[in-house]
Amino acid sequence: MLIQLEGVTKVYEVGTEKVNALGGVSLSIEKNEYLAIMGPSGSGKSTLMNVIGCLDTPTSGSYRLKGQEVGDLDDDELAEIRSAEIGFVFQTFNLLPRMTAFQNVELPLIYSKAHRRTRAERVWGVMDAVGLRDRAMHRPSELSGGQRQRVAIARALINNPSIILADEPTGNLDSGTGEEIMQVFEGLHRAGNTIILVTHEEYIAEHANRIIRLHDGLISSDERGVRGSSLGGPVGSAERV
Amino acid sequence: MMSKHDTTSEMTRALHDIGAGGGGGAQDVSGPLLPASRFLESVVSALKAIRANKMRSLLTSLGIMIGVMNVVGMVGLISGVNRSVADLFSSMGTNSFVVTKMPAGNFNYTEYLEYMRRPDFTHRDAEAIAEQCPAVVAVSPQAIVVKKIKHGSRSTKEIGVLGVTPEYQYVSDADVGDGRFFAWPESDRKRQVVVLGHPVAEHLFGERDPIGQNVLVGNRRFRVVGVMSPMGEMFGQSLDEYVIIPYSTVGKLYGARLMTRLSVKARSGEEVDAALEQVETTLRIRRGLKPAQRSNFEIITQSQLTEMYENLTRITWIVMIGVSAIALIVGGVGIMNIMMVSVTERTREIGIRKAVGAQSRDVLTQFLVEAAVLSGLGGIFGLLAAVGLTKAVASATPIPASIELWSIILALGVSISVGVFFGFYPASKAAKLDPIESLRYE
Repeated sequence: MLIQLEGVTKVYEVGTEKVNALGGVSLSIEKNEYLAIMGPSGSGKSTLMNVIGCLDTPTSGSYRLKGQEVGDLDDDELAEIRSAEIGFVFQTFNLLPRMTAFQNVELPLIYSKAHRRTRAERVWGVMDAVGLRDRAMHRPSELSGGQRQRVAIARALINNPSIILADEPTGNLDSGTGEEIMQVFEGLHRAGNTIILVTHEEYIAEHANRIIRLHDGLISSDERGVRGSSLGGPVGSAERV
Repeated sequence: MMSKHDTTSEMTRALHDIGAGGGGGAQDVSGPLLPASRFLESVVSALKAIRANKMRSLLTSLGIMIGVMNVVGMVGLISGVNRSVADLFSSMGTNSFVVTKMPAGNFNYTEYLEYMRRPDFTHRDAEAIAEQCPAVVAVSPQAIVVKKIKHGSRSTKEIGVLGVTPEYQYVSDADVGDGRFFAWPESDRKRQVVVLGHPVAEHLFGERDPIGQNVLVGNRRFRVVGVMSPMGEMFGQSLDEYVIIPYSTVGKLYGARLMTRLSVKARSGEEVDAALEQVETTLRIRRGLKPAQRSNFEIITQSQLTEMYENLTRITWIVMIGVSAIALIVGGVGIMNIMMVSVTERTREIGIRKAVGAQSRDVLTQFLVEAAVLSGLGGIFGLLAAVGLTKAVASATPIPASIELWSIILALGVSISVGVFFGFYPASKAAKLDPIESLRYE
């Protein structure tokens, strides 16, 4: 099992008030799954993404990534896991504006302490994969929205991560460009990657093979094989709260 | 934009090529990254960040620039002055000291009168020291009068006429450049022979050979037997504007009670203390002083002079260095301030870096290096300014200020340390930022 969450809760303190962002989520995700996490704002989907992405740790419960318990790691150990296992794609692209596309894609390699000589080779590889070789030396401001998101995807791929976590990846794109980006994810999935998509758009979530819906910090439904009849009908809830 | 069909199929192929599929981590690309090359990369990226805000960076490093300019300029000045003072003291002669009526340093008029009442030294004192002090290798009495030196129509201003015995050349380590020093027979017979200081010979004779020529010392005729090698300048003042005649001749022409001091040279560096003691004992016995009585003469050593000089100048230097330090602190606070602004402005960047795997210390290093580079650039500009300043000082004033290699190290060392010190707080603030909060920052 790639990802295993059991009874994960997350409590934030806002002033004196305690907010239960996650009320006890249990979830298993296998390698090469293409999963969408849906839910209205405030449902806890961002929090869940942050926990899965090792940006945050659960207040209680257990989160195992490739069998390793993540909950009791410190900030630097989490950073190491993010470096090796997680590739993020954000709604707002989150590219560094002063760097070229190439340098943006190269950035995670610097932190994973990849050797300088192998870096360029890796970067060109993923730039090819997202079809941006000829735009590599341009800055984000010189790229279209779709191209920027491809650079972000290339950056997410560069360390060959276990999970690609995409948070509303088409949220800032027009529908045509958004569709192109979804095609890229499709390709990544076919190539064997595990993809977790966070979205509130039904038509975006439909690209995934499995849809998890969150409501008030709890999983309200977990449908598999939602995509087309070839994959079969829903396999029911996998809730184990 | 490419057509959808093309991009999709191409990408799928390429994705298979790079062997995506997850779980590999980064083992295949990891390898030891030399810390040096990693450091160089952070410097390069720091330079980029600095270049992105040229005006702000320039203004920020101005404080450091002024501070470093002060420090380096000051140190150049101090070492220049110290060096020429050391030269001056050593012109007294290696392992040499003087015995005088008056101590070195400050004293008031009453004390002055008291010192003046002390007995003069006689050439017999010099002889006694030479005979009875085994640690003494040479001793020369010295008397100074001030006269104009003339040759033909040319004349010097009033300069020092030093009356000594031939041993003086051993005591003072002074070299005769041309001709010779006068000899004992000439000294004993009170001959009117003179050895000229280098600029004096040049002034009176120009290109011509002065040896064997006659000059007037005051209104007495002297024969030139030699010219001293030049010792150089100190604070724009030539150290060679004097002439030397036999001590006995001074007594004959200007009176016997002109003896002002004795120059004594110890046999070696180790024997200086022994020589001091022997000279003191010898003179005390000659003057019949009882053990409880204070000596009625003074012995002035080079180390005493050096110490005195250091005491006189220490406060001045401390104040100057203090002013420089304040400039550096102000500069450092400027760096800290701008780094705080920079950290806030780049909160999102920090969030992105952390999300893609940067650890706290990576972020810390990045901002520390940036602060150090910013400050270091100020240091380099300050160094250049200091070079200009010392050149200007050296050419406009007699102070022999100069920048040495280690000043460069000092400038860079000081400025980079200031950057690291004052950059630490902003950098650690950046390192502690929460990635989730930072990514949300607008």
